[in-house]
Amino acid sequence: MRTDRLQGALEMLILKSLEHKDNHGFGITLHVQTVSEGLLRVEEGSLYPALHRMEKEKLIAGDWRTTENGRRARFYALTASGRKRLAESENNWTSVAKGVRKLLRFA
Amino acid sequence: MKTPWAWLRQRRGRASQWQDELDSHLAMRQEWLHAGGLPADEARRAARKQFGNGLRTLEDVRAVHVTRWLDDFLQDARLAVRGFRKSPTLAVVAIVTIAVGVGAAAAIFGVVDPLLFRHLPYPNDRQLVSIGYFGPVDNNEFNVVASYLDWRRQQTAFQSMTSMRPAPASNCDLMAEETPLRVNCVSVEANFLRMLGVRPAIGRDFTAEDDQPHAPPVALLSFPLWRSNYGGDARIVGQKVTVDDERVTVAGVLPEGFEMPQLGAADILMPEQLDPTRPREANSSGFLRTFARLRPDVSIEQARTQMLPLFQQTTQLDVPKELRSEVRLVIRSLRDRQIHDVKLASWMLLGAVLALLLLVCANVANLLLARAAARRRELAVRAAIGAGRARLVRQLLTESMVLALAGGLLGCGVAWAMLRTLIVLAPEGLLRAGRTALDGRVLLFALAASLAAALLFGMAPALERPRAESLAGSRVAGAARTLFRRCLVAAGGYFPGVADRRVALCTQLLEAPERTAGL
Repeated sequence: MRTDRLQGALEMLILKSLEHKDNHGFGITLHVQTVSEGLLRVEEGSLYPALHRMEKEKLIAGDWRTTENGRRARFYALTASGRKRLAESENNWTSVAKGVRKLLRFA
Repeated sequence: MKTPWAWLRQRRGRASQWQDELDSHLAMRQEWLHAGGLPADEARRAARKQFGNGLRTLEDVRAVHVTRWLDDFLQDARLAVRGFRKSPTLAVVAIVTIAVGVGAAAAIFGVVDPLLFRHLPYPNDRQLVSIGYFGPVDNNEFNVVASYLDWRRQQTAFQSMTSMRPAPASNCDLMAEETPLRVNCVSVEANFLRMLGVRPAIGRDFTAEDDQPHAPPVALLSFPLWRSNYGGDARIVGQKVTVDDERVTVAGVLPEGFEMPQLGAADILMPEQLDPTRPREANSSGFLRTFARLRPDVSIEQARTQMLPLFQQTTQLDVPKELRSEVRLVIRSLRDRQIHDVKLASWMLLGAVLALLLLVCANVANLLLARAAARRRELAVRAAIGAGRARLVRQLLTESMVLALAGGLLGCGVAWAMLRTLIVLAPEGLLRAGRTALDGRVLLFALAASLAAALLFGMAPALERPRAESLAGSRVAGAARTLFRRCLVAAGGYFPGVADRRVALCTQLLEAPERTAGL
């Protein structure tokens, strides 16, 4: 499923991916793909504009660090308001999902 | 403070960081794929494929950070500057031409602005009028004491009326520490300042008692006189000074920048002490200038209608029989009274420089069209690789804007120099030259003039449609541009005052560099 199809979904996935560990863009795509067992894929073309927009909104903060493999990469970390936004959208998402599931079962 | 250069450098640094970030992503993906067993070159290809359109992504990232139009504008502006650097002669000629046009327009605007547009320095200045008899004796309306006293008592059109003795007989001697000083003393009615809506800077205004005949003499000093002669010391209030051998008490000091309604000089104001008890014959030969403040709901026309019976009545009493048919009642706005016969001249002057500005536009449009012909291939290539028409037009307009802003900036310098020269050349002849300065309004006018000019002369090359056949380099002169050029020149020629020799001279001056440039 393409994650940019659902509004706010990409933002939530990014926030969730950063919840326990700061990560760079590539790490985020990898994380989403492995954790969802290949069901979800984050497109680079949407990921980077989203990261920069979220950084501008101060949901996440980015800085240049070195990876374990000795490569320079831009790492992103959740900010306090990012955490708050994550909690909100998780709640929101759960109720939407519940509603959709009910709607699909009805018939 | 952040300089614009630091800001630009930072912007550039930021932009390269965005690219670095995307590059590092690609490298990590490639490494990861390679570690998963793919050969190196295949891993690179796969990583690229997965990534998609990197340029597009970079653009999207940039769009997050910068306002799109501003970014486009800066990019176009940079491009324009680079382009003009390649043909500096054209750019310099165009900029100097614009500078002369904008500078002249701004300088003249600076002169006529206080005359035609700016508020007079009194609250609700539109209510103020000058009123009086108008006859062959004087260029301006005047009054006589006897009539004025009747008008003041019986009028209904005005909130209040006030009067002053005409300026000519106003020289007086002020004794300043043993040395006599020649100054201008003007006698005014006690309500003079109140009618104008002005209060003394320090001290008190005149009272009705001061204005009684034979009341103890008092005076208000002008701000400059107070500054220069009394060192701006507030203790002067209440003290006595000697004016024409008379001991006069200083009641107060006029505010800084105070202007007499008829723009005369005034160093000292004293109560005029009109005496209604004198015989009518004596009072009907005492001349006055009279001013009034209209009631808020009364127009000048209505006021005239209301004043006419009074005017006719006093004419019978105070005007000599042989002159009665020649005097009439004049009520006009204070601004009209002040600028008098220079009103038409001011408008003419303004029209002339605007015509000059149009001619400048026509000339610069010509220069740009000549350049556009040489650039047609470049534009066609741009169009061919996907630049939209709007985008091309915007780029060309940005180029004009860059030229116009550079010219406008230089024009401000020209305006400053011209204003200084004008003030030096005509210190007495130009009304309100003291209030003529290169201030925010004039600069704003210069900016607006430059931008309007840019739109005007930038339109010519921008409107030319880049055609596919231009790729082949064929040079077909567009009929549209010749028409446009003619329109501009015709519009310039249509303005009154173009026949004026100065403008003709300017036109020749402006066209000269074009000829020498071999266009």
